[in-house]
Amino acid sequence: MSEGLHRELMRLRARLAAAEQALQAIREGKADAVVAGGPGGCRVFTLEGADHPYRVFLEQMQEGAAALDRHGAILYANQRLAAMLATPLEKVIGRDLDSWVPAEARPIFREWLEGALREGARAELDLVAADGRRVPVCLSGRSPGAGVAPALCVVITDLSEPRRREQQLRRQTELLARARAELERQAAELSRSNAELEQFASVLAHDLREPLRAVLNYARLLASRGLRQSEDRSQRYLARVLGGAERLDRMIEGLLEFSRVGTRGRPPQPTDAQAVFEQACSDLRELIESAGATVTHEPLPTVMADETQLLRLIENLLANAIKFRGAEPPRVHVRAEWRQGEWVFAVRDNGIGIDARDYDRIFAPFQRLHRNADYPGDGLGLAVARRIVERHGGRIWVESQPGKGSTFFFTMPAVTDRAHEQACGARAG
Amino acid sequence: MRERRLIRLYISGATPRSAAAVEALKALLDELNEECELEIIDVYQQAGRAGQDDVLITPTLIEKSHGTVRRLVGDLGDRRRLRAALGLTGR
Repeated sequence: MSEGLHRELMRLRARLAAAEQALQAIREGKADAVVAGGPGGCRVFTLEGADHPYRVFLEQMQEGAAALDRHGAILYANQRLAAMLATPLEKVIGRDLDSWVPAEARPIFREWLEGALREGARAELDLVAADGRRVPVCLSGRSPGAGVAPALCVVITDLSEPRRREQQLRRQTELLARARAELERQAAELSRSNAELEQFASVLAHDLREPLRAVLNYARLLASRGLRQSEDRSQRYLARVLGGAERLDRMIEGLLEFSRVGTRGRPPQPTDAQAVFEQACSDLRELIESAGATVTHEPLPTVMADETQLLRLIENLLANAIKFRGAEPPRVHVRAEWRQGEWVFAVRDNGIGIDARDYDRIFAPFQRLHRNADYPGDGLGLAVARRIVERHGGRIWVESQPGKGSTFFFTMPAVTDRAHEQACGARAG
Repeated sequence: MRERRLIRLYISGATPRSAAAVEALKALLDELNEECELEIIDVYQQAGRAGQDDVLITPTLIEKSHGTVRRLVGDLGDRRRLRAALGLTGR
């Protein structure tokens, strides 16, 4: 070997040793920087550079972060984003971000990508993580500038928690609104029933006093002159006392019944109105026959009702129709018709009819249009009827032509599928 | 069944050379349209993984198939070198 070659070999060996030493130092973490030669002179690469704090910031922040190329491929992703997508880091980088975007959100994603590259853009959409979970996110992307890599810097915010909270808030707001509406309804109901009660109490005192006054007057007459007057007259006074007391008794009985509509009611159940109607006719046979009345009907439906109360309602309306008769023999016709989700019953008669200005008054307690002697009654029949209908959530009203007859209408709720099933289940079990 | 080739690329964040390496590799793989196991490892995030392949510098490309290991260190922008590293010289 020539001396020249030998020298060259030694020189290369030394360089190799130096290089190995340098590599060893880097490997053992003893180096601070690497100096690299290049066409433009030496460049220094620090191993833990000035960008380290930014790096930590990116890796540790609570949001997903990614750098994308202009086609949407991920060049860099932080650990938060990998966790969000339930995908190992090494499988995130290099993939297209839209591979986690469900098909239906792809157009939104495309539009966002174009907008972000142009001037910066935000979009909200769902990503589908590797474990199948849907993650609602906000994508916020912006280009650092033409010709600068990467094409796009993106922050991806997980919206699961805020969405959950939003939903919770919406649910609570809904509940609150419903509770408030219920409260308002109850308040209105309370003030209505209060007003009714007040009016009722005053009417009641006034109306009960009338027969009571008759009882008192004649009883006083009997007491003061009992022995000095003829037996005939005493008998007449006594009859007045008894008559007044009986009327009082009837009124109090009616009042009790009126109050029981609210207190003794049973929950509505599917009830065959036709059977109830037939029962009412049988209960009123005596009245019907003595009046020479004809009561006809069309097929009646099954409705949601308290059977006892529906019977009382139909009886009261039939009895009224017969009682307030004209010169002709009473003819009463009952039918029901399906109208806007409820049953509308109609009880039509050929009686004396009612003046339009009394349409409302007749349903109030003790509001009598006629003298007791002409049409005896406790003055509560229609008030009870209205109370029963209202307890079933319905309405009652009358249409009439004086002298030609009246038609009383009331509504009853239809049998819901669920109530029907429950009734069938109860019957089967 | 033919063993899938493993391609592993070591990068350091979205630095220009690393980003260019990812793009160049993706472009080539898209062109080849071949099923392979691709892993891209950011050594900032997973420094421990760099040790397993004796990686000193990023970007470094490692290709393993049928017991052979090929390695390309530095710039992946040179298509000829990249193809050679993936054993594609003959094609």
